[in-house]
Amino acid sequence: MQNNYFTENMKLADIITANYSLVLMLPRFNIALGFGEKSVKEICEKNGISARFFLLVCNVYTFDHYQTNKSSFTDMEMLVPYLAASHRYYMQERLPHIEHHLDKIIDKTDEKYGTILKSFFTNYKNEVAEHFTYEENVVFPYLNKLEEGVLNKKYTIKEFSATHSNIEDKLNDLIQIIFKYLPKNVCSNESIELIFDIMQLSNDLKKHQLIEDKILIPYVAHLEKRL
Amino acid sequence: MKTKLQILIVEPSEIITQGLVAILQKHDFEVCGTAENTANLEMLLEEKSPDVLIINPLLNAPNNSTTLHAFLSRKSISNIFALIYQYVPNNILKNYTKQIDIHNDTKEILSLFEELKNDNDDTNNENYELTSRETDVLTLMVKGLLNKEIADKLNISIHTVITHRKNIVRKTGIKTVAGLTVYAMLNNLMD
Repeated sequence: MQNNYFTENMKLADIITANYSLVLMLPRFNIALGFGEKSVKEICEKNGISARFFLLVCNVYTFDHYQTNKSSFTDMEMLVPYLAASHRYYMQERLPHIEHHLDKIIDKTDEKYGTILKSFFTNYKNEVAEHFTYEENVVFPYLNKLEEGVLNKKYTIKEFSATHSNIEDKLNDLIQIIFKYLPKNVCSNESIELIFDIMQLSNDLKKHQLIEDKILIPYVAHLEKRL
Repeated sequence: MKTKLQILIVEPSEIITQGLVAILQKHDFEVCGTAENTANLEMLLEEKSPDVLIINPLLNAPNNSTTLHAFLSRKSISNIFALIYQYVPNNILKNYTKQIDIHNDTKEILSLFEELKNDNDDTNNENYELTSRETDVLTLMVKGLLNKEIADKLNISIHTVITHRKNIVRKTGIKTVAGLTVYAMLNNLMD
C-alpha cells in the first residue's frame, strides 16, 4: 500500500471508488457531485481548495499507516473550516438521525429499559457537544492566532492532546448493548439499520480523531515551535 | 470455534516425514510445515506458530549454538514431541512432552494428538457469562467505587480487581463505565 497513496492527478471518482467513505469529504469541502472524469487537481482548482490539503485529509482518512510530517503542513487554511464542517455534520445530522431511530426502538421496549438507554444516549450527545465546543472555542481560535504569528503563552497544544478524549468508545458500547442485551428487542429492520448507522458514525469519528492526531495536533505543535 | 491443531515436523528422513504427514492428514490434522534440518527453525516457529512441534531429538540446534532441547525450551511452544527410531538417552527424552516412536501403530500415534485436541477445545469453550465475582466487581464499579475500594470491600488485591475488570470488558465487549452501567441495569444487577 505504501506507494499507492492518492495523488492529485488521479480522478476524484477513482479515489471515491477506492474508499466509498470519502464521499463524506465532498460536503465538508463544498464539492458538488456530478464531477465526471475530472482529476482531483482540476476539481480542487475549480472549487478554490488546496489539492494538497484535500489529499492530505483523504490519505489520512483512508490509510491507517499514512504518516504526516512538517512538509505535509502547507496550505492549511482549510483545516479549521474542514473540522468545523465535520463537527456540524455529526451534531446536526448524524446524532439527531441516530437519536430518531433509537427513539423508535425505545418506544417498543419496556419503559424501564427505554429510560436507561435514552439517558445513556443523551449523556453521550452532551459529552460529544462539549468535546467539539471546547475545540471550537479554545483550540481553533488558538490556532488562528498562531497562524497570525501570535503565541499565547498560557496555553499549549500539549494540554489539548493530553485531555483529548476518545468519543467513539461509547458508540461501540451502544452497538453491543443494542444487539446483545436489550430485552424484547425484536430483530426489526429498524434495529439493524440503527446498528449500521452507529457503526458508520463510529468509524467516521475514529477517522476524525486520526485527522486531529495526525494533522491538527502536530501542525499546531509545529507552529508553536516556530514562534 | 474448533481450530485444527497446527503441526510442524522437523525430521531429516523424507520417507518418515512423508509417512507421518500422510497419516496425520488422513485423520484431519493439519501439517503447517516440514523441514529436514533446524537451519530455518527459528523463522518457521515464528511464521507458523504451531501447536505441536514434532522433531528428531538427535538433530543439532540451529548454528550449533547449544543443545537442541535447550534451544527449544526458550521458545514459547507448549507441545514438543520427540520423533524416535533409534536409541535416544533418557536425559534427552525427558525434555520432550511426548514421544512418537516410528514402531508405534497409527492408533497409538493418533491418540497422542487426540488428547491435545480435547485440551484445545476446552480453552475455546470458555464460559462467556460473567462469573459471580465478576458481577460483584461490576456492580461496585458501576456504583463509582475506585479499584482500591472495590479490593477492600471484596477482600481481594487490586491486581485481582484489574484482572476482573479486563475480563468484564472482554466478555461484554463494553469498554466504558457508562456502557457497563447500562449493561448492569438491563440485566437487573443493580438493587
